[in-house]
Amino acid sequence: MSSLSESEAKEFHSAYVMGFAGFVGIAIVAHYLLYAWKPWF
Amino acid sequence: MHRFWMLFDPRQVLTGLAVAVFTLALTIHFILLSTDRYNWLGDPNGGGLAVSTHQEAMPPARS
Repeated sequence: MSSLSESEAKEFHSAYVMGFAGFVGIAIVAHYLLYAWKPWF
Repeated sequence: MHRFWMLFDPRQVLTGLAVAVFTLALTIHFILLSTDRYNWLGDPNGGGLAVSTHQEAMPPARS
């Protein structure tokens, strides 16, 4: 078990999800640009 | 869902994720570099083996 309390876990989780959403957003933009340059399907 | 972080320590998860994602990204970039279509560094119509581009004529058939 990690040493986080429920509230700390909730706090970390919201930050983690935001970071992950940012990562996915950047990846979507990158893949769109790449596909516009040279489609792979 | 947030209870996940009560099971796994965020520091270890973040470290593991960083290593995994970095390795995957490195692998994919080098795979793309090894292709003709997605090589963004080499000269556009370069690459390929020497033999595959130039074919010598067949020697005359032995009688």
